[in-house]
Amino acid sequence: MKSNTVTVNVIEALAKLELTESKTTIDVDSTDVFTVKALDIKNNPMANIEVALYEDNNKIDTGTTNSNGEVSFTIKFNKKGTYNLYAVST
Amino acid sequence: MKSNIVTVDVEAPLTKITLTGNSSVNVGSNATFTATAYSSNVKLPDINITLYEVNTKTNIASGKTNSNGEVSFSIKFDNAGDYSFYAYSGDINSNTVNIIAKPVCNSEQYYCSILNKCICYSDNASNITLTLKNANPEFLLFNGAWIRDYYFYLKYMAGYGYFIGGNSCPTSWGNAPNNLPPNIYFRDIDISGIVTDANGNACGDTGVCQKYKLYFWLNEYTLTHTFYQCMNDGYNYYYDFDFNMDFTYEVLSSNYAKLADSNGIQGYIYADEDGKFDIKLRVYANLSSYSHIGSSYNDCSAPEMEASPILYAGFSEYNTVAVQTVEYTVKTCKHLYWYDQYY
Repeated sequence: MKSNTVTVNVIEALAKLELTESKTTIDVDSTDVFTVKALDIKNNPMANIEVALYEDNNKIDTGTTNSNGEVSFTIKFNKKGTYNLYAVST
Repeated sequence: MKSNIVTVDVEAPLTKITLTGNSSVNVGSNATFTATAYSSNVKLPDINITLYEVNTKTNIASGKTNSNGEVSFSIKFDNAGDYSFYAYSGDINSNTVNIIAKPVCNSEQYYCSILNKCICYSDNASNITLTLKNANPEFLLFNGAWIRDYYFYLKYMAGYGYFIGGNSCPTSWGNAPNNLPPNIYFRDIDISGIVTDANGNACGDTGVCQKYKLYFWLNEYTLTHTFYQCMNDGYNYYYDFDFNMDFTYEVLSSNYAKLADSNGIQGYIYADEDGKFDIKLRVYANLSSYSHIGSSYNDCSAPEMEASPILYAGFSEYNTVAVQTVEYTVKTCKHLYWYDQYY
C-alpha cells in the first residue's frame, strides 16, 4: 500500500548580508560606493533580495540584489564627519 | 537580517574662499565684506578667515565662519580713496574686492568721481573760451565747394544742477556771449567771452555750476555740444577759467575722413558706394584741456561722459548736406588747490 504524497518545498534562506565600501576616507561632496552581498547558508549568492542601506537609523537607499547576489549604492556625503552604515534585508 | 557595519570618514579640506562686498562706501561709514569658505562646493563652518587690505598690506580683521560657512567683516572707512581686500586662511586666498571710499560733500560742494573728491562751487563769474580748429577741412568740401553758412551759437544755463541761490542769471537757456558772429565758415573758430545775463552782468554765484551748449547749425540741422563748467575756489581766491575744445579733422582719403582732436574726440566720415556720407563722432577720452591764471595744473584729465557720445551727420543723395541733431555731454571737473596762487 502506498501512502499519500507529501510535498516539501526547499527554499533558500538568506543567511548573511555582507556590506563593503570602496573607500574608508573621502572628501566632502564626493561619493563612496557601498556593496551589499546576499548569501545563503552555503555562501551561495542570492538574487532578488531587497536590501535597504542605513546610516545610523536613517534609511538612505534601497535596492535589489542581482544574479550575483549584489546590489551597490553610490552615496554622496555633503558634510564632514564619521558615518556608520549598515544594510538590512526587507 | 542586518549586515555588518562599515565606517567612512568624510573629510572637508578648505579648497576655496570667496569674498564679496560693497563697491563704494561713504567716508565715515561702514562697508560689509563677507567671506565664504568652501570644500569643493560645500560651505565650511568653523574656518578662521582673515581680511587683508592690499594697499596697506595689513590684516584688517579676522573671524570664524558660521554654520553657513560665512563670516562678515564690517569695516569703517575714515579716508577717501581706493581700497582692495581679500580674505585668506592657510594658503588659500580669496578673490579681491575693490571698494571706493567716497568723501561726503557738504552743500557747497559736489562730488567729482574722477578725482574722488568734493569740489567747491565757484563764487565767481567764469570766462569761457571755445576754440574750434579745422586743420584739414577738405572733408567739408562738396563738389569742390566749401560748405558755408555753418552757424554756431553758444547758449548757457547758469546755475544748472548745483544752484544754491542768489544767482542773478536766468536758469533757463540764455545766449552767451552776445557778440558771436552770426555766419562763419567752419574753420578756425574762436569764441571767447564772459558769460553774462541779459543785463550784461557776469553770471555765477555761490554754488553755481554752469552748463553750456554749443550749437552748430548747418542748414536746418543742428549739432549740439553740451558741457559743464564747474569751478572751485574753496579758499575764496579768484581764478579765471578757460575751457578749450580743439576739433581737428583729418582727411584719410577722398571719401573717408577721420575726425580727431587732441582732447579725445574722434570720429569718422565716409561715403558708401552710393555716394552717401555719414559722420560718426565719438568722444572717448579727455576733453578737458584748460588753464587758469598762474598755473597749467590739470588734475581732471578724464571727463565724465553723459548721454550719448555719438554724433551722426551725413550727406544726402541730393548733394545737400544733412546733419542730424546730435547731443553729447562732457562733464568736466576742476580742482584748484590753494597753492596754485604761488605759481
